Amino acid sequence: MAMNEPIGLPAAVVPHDVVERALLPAAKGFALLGGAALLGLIAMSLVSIVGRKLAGTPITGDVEMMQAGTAAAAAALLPYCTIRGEHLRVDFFTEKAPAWLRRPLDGVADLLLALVMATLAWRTGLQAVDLREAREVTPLLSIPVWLAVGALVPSLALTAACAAHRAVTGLLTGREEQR
Amino acid sequence: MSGTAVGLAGFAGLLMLLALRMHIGIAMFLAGAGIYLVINGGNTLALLFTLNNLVFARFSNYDLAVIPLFLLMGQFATHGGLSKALFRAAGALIGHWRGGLAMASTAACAAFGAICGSSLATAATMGQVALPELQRYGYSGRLATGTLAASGTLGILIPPSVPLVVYAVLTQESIGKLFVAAVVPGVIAALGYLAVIFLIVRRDPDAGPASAPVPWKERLLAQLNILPVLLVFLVVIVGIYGGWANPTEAASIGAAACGIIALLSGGMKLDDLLQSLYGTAQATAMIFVVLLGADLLNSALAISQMPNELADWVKNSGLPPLLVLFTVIAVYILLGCVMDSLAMILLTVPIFYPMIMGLDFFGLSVADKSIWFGILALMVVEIGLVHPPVGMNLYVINKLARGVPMGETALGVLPFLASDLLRILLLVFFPGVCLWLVGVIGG
Repeated sequence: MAMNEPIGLPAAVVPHDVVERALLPAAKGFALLGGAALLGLIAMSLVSIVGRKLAGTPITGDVEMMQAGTAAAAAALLPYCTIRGEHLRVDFFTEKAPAWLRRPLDGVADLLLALVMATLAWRTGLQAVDLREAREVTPLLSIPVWLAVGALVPSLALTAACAAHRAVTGLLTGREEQR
Repeated sequence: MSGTAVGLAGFAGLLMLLALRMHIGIAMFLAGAGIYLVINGGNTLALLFTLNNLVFARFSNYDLAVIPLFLLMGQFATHGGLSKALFRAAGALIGHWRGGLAMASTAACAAFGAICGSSLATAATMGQVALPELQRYGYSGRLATGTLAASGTLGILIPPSVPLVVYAVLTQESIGKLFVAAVVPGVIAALGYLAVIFLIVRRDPDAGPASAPVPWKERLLAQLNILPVLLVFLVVIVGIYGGWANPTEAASIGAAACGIIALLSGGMKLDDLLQSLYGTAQATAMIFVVLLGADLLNSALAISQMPNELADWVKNSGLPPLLVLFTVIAVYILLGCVMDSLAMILLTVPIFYPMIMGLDFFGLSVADKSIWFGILALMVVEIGLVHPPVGMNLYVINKLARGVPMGETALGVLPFLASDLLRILLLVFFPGVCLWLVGVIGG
């Protein structure tokens, strides 16, 4: 049964092979970095709102920081969900299908996920390069926009790698579904 | 091929990909890319260029930042033991009534829903706390599991609510207004569930035996534990609606407050903090991948003109608006058999919203209609979480309640489903149920 919504009680994940032994800690590390970034943004937001209400001086560019920060954080959270194979899917029609049918379908699904993520990593990277040449900066803090955009690329690439790994193991070795 | 035909074909392709177990976000992405390519005469380069800014533009949307923040807030509430305090407080107050502990579970779910935007998290956490107690006092498995599966949906029905944020972003609606509009229907939902429990134990007293009353002093002391939760709820909702914090800031405050309460109450250790972050990571990633795919799909659909033409067609067809509305509701209930509530909203709102907005319902203004349909859609998609065969809440609760057969849980939830349907009818015919509070507070 696919988890449609997280219940916040994830079971421990055991790596299955050498590649996963490398990818899993990386994905977990990215997730914790993203989480830490969220905690930082929360603190920034609190300081800003207290400053605005009490002293009339909000943090300059708090909205810019929140936008760039959430984008980077959200992207960093993708690999963990991907390596665990927890992305949303409809399995109503194939729930009772035999494993020999389901496994290749899931392998293809992960392959497509990997291709889409790799494409997005590539295009987002190009966008960062373009923005760098255009020397675009944010209005208040003058942060170079290419840094904010470029910060997403490693996360997207790692997500693609995690999905590709699941696709390969799913299609070639016929590993049983994790969940 | 006309744009509308391309749009419809793309949609059909999407449904097929979904049936074949493709990830929902990726299936939407591919369908969107397909529609794009066909309309642009196969110009791959143009498609690739639109992808350049897709991820950053979507992920840096200021309003969407509330989603990870609300999810973190819910995780802190889940891992911080707040559910236990809420159940004890409600149990001390009404546990000695017949069926009282089941009612206390519903009340605790409602309170937990006020700080948590997710139904499954509410069902799972409250289930862990309440099920052992209900079983200890001899409640029937059917009543216990049915109550918790249904009451879990209060997590989303009572704001904050992640699907409402998504609806707001899709339709440019105000998050604050939607949250306020959801309060009264959410309370009605909770009262409806209490009434169902009352009726069940009246017919079958053995299903929910009364427990021993608690001394008054303890009863009152237990209520103190609710105060922090109430405070967080008020700060978030009033803060957003009162305009002194935008939704993103209010979510920051809420997450920080829940984190601090969880730390102070001693319920959250370092490991719980890490689990909260992992849980947030997983939930956020699930939602954001779907958001990404939906973004491309929706802009492709908009280019194809399919949603507008469909809306015009419905408007000019002379079909009675209520018939259209009930068809939409029926589609949601059917889709709820196979799909997650968020994915349903992302998939259908771009098509149904212009359709509903083009019709006249009881002379409602456009602004009111937009809020009303949002709340209505939320209630209908939430039913998908509890109706058999694949209501996720049923599985979550049934797994927690060892020894209760799945069939009992499915039967147990039926009376609650009846109250859900009644509430939807109430909201359809009396939009004031959700609009009233918006008017009062908005003045």
